Amino acid sequence: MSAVTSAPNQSVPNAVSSDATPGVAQGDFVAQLVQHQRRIYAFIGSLVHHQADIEDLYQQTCLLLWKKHEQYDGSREFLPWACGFAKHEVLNYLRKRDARGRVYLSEQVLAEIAEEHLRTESDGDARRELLDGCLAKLQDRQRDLLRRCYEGTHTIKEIAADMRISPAALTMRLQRIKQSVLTCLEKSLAAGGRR
Amino acid sequence: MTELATLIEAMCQGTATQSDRDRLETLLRDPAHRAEYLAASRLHSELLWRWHRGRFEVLGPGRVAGSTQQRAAQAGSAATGGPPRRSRGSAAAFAALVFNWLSRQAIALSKPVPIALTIAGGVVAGLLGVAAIVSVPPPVASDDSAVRWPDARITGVHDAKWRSPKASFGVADPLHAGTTLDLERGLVEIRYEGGATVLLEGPAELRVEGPSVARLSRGRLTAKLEKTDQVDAARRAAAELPRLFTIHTPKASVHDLGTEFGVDVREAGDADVHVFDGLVELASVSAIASASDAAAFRLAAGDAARIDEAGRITSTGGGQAKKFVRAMPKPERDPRSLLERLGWNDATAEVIYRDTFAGSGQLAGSTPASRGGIGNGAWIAQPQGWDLRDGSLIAESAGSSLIPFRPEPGWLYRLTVPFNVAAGSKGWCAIGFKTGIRPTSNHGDDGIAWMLRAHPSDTQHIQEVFAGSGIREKVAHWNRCGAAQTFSILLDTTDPRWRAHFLVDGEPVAVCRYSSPQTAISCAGISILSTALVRIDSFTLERAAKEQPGEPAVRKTGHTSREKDRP
Repeated sequence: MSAVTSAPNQSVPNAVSSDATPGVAQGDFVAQLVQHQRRIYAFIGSLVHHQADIEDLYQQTCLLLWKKHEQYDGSREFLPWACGFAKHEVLNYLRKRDARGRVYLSEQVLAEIAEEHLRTESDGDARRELLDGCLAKLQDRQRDLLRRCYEGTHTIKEIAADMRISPAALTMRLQRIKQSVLTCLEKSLAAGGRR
Repeated sequence: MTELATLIEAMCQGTATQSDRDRLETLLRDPAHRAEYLAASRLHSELLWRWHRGRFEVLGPGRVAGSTQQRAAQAGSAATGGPPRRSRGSAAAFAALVFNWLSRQAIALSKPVPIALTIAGGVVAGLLGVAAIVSVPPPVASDDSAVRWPDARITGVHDAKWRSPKASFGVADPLHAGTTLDLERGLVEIRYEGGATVLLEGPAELRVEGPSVARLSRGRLTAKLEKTDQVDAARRAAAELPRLFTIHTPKASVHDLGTEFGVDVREAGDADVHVFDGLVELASVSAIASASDAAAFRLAAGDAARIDEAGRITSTGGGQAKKFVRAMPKPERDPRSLLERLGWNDATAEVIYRDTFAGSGQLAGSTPASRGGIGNGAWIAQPQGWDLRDGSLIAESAGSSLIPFRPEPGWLYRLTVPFNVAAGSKGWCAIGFKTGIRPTSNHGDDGIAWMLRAHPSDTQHIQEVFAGSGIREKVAHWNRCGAAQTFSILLDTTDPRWRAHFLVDGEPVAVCRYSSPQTAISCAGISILSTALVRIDSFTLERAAKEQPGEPAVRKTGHTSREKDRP
């Protein structure tokens, strides 16, 4: 039994420069990825809409970004770089996906939407913060319903059955709730973010 | 509702048609519509992120790897990486993803391992091991400081007795920095946000000081940092990484560099440390260090050290290893069944209803006794769709069939119903107790202790238990469907806080605890929804007096109960 080595009282190491260890650059990359993950998710969500598609694509994109992380040199903006890959994944995904039975936007339109989304998404963080306030303004019942629909544990059909209304009626209610949230968001943004 | 909004919603639900899509694309040529579209899609994504992905954050967001490490390095702090960023994004989930990918790529240990990644992997390995997904409702708070993810959480309790009943904790309780656990005896398992699992053995006093820091004033614990195969603790130590988990004792601090060690602190403040796996660093708080002992030590697997009251550290043999408990005892596989534990004795159980559905014709209006069963209560059911055929009850019509029943305090009741769900049948079927008799309603708003088996159209088979009305009061949810299963509910009214135990094929799956007697229950029964087609072979409702183990049955006398018939 060996190894009771003594070490001088440890002071914390100096910051390691980015040339010294590859790990730090990777650490940086992971940090960037984590910081932007919600925006990458939202980008994908502007192109495909069904929750399962967004999830699959988001996971695939994250993996791809990690594989490509060495290509990111830190000199350009992370989000457009990452979303370039995301868009590529989405297009690939759609080409293979006739069997799924869902319809998707065409490539041409997707390209335009992608570009416009990136161009106009900079207020995304502000919107996200305002969203709490707008959700709070909903009636409890409405917010409850919204959450139930989005949690994913039950389908729209099941929730409708539980509420004893038709799926179409539920969809209508859901839309109305979302519309009131959207209106609130617009107002809050216009009011400079004051609630 | 604008046409655009309706089309977008259809795309979200996956119900849009080709012509819907074409129409949407036509609308999107207009820039005003595009703006509306983008706003709607952003909201949709954000809600999914919060509520759908948010379900999987059991322990809260992990640390932001890399940047946290650098911040710590720059701050010159000995803290283990600083406070986690209070972002609600799934840093943990993402790290899990990357970790998964790395595992699949089978990165060899010899390759220099990305440092940040190992931290990320470390933070998250716990998430990978989580068997049950706990739904964490996202805090809707506009002020981020109001939302505090716990620094640790209790994940296991065994025979625990707390010093003060007011300061007692249970499984899943969150622990924030500053919380002190004063355990008189027993074992408590605590999972730290930073990735360490601590097993605390009473008598002990432990204070949570952060996601990766604890203070053990006295008592014994083992700490284990989630292992990642990609990590070699020695290499991490050599690379001068921030310590990953720290336990402060009165006279020294133990820094876990990965992965498992035990600390035993005695009343006087002296302590033993034993390393089971990985690497640990001891730093004495004492300024006095004898010439032959360094003020700080590194201990590797198999090493042990003693810190005396003066803070001097000496190495010792590993003989102390056995006194440390390194894993929670397996949940007591009490050889007794749930029934025995609850005090149910079949020999003394009285049958209130037994219906084997012999004969033919509609169920409505008939009594179990009329066909050789037990019980004179009449079934209340719809005239059609609930029929007796070939010795079974065939349920084809959405709604409920109920039989009058009022539970009384002081008993154990057991409802048992075997189901056979026809192949290809969808929808759900359920049993339980209800407050109102409405044959056309399913579990809806009046079920108490309601247990349900579902086969919904596009998700997996699920089974659910509800304490009260509707989906809002769901208690538990698990996957164990099969075509033929027996559901039972054991209603324990012996304590004013009634309990319902739910069993599938004799195995307990959930418990509901009510805060008061549920005397609104007026019937027991079965219900199905829409497209289910179910064959039910029997319906049995019994009651028994609760027996203490080892005592003979004590019959309650003078107790009137409805619809009871002795065989």
